[in-house]
Amino acid sequence: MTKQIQFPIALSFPWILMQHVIKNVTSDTPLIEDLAFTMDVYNDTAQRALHHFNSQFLFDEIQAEVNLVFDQLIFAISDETYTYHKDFAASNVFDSDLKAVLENARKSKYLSKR
Amino acid sequence: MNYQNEYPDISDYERVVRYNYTPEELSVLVDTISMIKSTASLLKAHEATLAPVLRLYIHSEIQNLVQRDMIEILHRADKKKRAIMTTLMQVRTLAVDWLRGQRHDDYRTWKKNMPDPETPARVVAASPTQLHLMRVMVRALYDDKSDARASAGLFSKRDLTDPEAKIFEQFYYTSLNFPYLLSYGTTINTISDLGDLWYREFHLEVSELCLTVDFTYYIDPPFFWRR
Repeated sequence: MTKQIQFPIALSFPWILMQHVIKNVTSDTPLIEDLAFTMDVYNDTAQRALHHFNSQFLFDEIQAEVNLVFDQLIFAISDETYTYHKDFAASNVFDSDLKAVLENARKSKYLSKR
Repeated sequence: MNYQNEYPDISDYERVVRYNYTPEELSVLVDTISMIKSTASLLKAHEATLAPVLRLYIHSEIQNLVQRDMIEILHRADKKKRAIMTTLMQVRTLAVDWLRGQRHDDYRTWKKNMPDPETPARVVAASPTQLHLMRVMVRALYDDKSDARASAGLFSKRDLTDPEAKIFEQFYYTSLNFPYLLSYGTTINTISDLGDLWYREFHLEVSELCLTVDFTYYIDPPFFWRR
């Protein structure tokens, strides 16, 4: 279906959800606390593979995906954390007047001098 | 609409799973997942507290039926020597738990305006076999076509009057949940299992059904949630 030997994790729905949890920092209620619950989907999946479908290969498949996903997850979190603190530190050294102008500019649709 | 020409690199499956959701929809889904998961873990954490209470409840429900609600029916059936007596006694002996372990023919001495009989409160649930047999017999008793519900003549009461049949029916519906309550932990695990989020797409990949067949819409998680 994907015309590839291995199923890309970018198409894996739990991963899409996790990515969303990390990337979507704009909303009012932070989702990051729900990350562990989203990871729990893999627990359920593996549990069912072993005890319901009784198939080792399916479990291996899931395990491989989780390993990959976990690496990606650590990377994504560190990236996000680093970016946040970099922005924070950078905005601290900004001149406060300039910061006010820039913050105003961000609120309007187009960047303008006033 | 056909977008195949516009974005030839994107597979149909990607269209459905990867590009089909707005961030808001994903947020809601994540919220729902965490809600289900946190509720389940809370319920599971209190399993030890709830298990005796559930068993106490199940025991009292059953005893109330066989010792309190059935007594008048038994009294009537015994006096008129109805055939239904055998079945009623079977249901009773199957699950009855006498106070102080003494069996007595309470339905013979029963009179109207007598206080409800005392039943022992015990933290013991019925076994699956007991439950199953009880349910089968109770269902057979209150069925509209059963002998117990047949009209016994113009002026005499049926063996099982309408309100009594209602009580049996109520018990039948309540007892449906008993096995699930008894295997509390397993039930919680089963209903909070969200493995489908992963599996549906996996099977979709295996079967290579794609979107060429309408059927896949229905087994696909996105469509399933949208309904």
